[in-house]
Amino acid sequence: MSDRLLDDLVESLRCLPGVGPKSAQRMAFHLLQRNRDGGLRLAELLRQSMERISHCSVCRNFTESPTCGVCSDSTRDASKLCVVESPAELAAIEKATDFRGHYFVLHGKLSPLDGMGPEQLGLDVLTHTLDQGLAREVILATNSTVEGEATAHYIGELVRSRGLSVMRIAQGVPLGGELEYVDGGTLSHAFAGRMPV
Amino acid sequence: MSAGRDNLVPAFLLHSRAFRDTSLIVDLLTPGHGRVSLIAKGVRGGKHSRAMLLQPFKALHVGWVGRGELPVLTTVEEARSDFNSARLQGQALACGYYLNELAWRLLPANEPAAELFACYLPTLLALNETSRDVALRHYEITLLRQIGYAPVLEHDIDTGAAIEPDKRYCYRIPDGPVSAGEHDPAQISGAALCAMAELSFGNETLLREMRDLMRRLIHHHLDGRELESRKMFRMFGNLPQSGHG
Repeated sequence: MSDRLLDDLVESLRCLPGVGPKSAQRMAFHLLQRNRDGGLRLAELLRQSMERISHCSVCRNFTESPTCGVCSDSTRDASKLCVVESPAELAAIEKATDFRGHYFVLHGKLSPLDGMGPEQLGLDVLTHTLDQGLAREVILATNSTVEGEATAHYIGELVRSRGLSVMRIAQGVPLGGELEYVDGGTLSHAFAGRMPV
Repeated sequence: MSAGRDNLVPAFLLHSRAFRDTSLIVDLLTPGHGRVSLIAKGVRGGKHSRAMLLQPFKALHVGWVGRGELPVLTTVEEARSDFNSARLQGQALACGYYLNELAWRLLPANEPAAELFACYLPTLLALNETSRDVALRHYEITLLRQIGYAPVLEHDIDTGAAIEPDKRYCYRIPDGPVSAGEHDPAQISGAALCAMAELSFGNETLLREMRDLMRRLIHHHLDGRELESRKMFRMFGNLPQSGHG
């Protein structure tokens, strides 16, 4: 009768990805037996994050202020705008490249069978940003999948109609890759996008 | 329901969705098993070439093992094909998704669909051509025939008389054509019905009549659900033109 709270906790933990009933139960018992402080801190941070973190009004990345750190950083080059599918990809680009422009996060890709259209991707926000006239070059860094390409094509047309330059990130042989093991599609992309040495 | 242990099965991917951290649930179109749902384990997250292969519009060869609801995909290879999916862009791509969405929603799982499978690749190839509408109508009729709802196109369902090209008909969804009265809405010409029955498609006007009829039929079989790919088609149609792409 009084186990209701525990059951609810286990059930709630299952909202995390990849957590089934068994793992949820293990997490709940671990917090209760060994780490009540950690549990309380987690609860408090979860509550604050869920309440306060929302989308940046300019780039739609997650942030707790109205505009995110990247968008409000005046040392960054606002004339370059890089469009990515998810915050994880933004982080990957930020970590691995020396790109110092602004970003736009779609939080998804055009995917008709899953009901993802231009409204879900916040393209109205993107066109608003473009119409403000700061960006001169848009770099499309969506994934190299059929849906990613469709998204890039669609946004590319939107941007081009405004007379701005549009770039697509290069696709080809990965670093350390051997041509023999690269799949046919990638190889043909690599050949189409060959560069002078 | 294992398949492809000895010989891999030709397949096209209709739809895939993420499952757990690194797996995908894929719906494939195959000739012998129709629509098959499989779980592709550990294919997402970087270094696995299988995730790259599991893309829509790519001719594949697959094998799977397991019984029950969700067998496990064991092998996937790229098939030799003249078709390069990168050529599908804009509205042609939306049409490609339309093919997938129709098969995904209408085909029953694990029932042979050899006829539809045979029709799939030629339809994809035609999407960039001027014969796109013809190919789409052909695909729709093949699909309806495959699921056992072939539209009646040869005779009047009230009188049993053969369709006459110069008469007007009213198509009673989903049963078939009856000769039309003066004020019946949504009429179709006998010529269009005959052309559809013979899968020979004539001029623009006939094609438009056929498109409207097929749209009504498919709408009926989808129980009124709207097709997402059709929204995508309209969306690409609404793009401002910049004279390129």
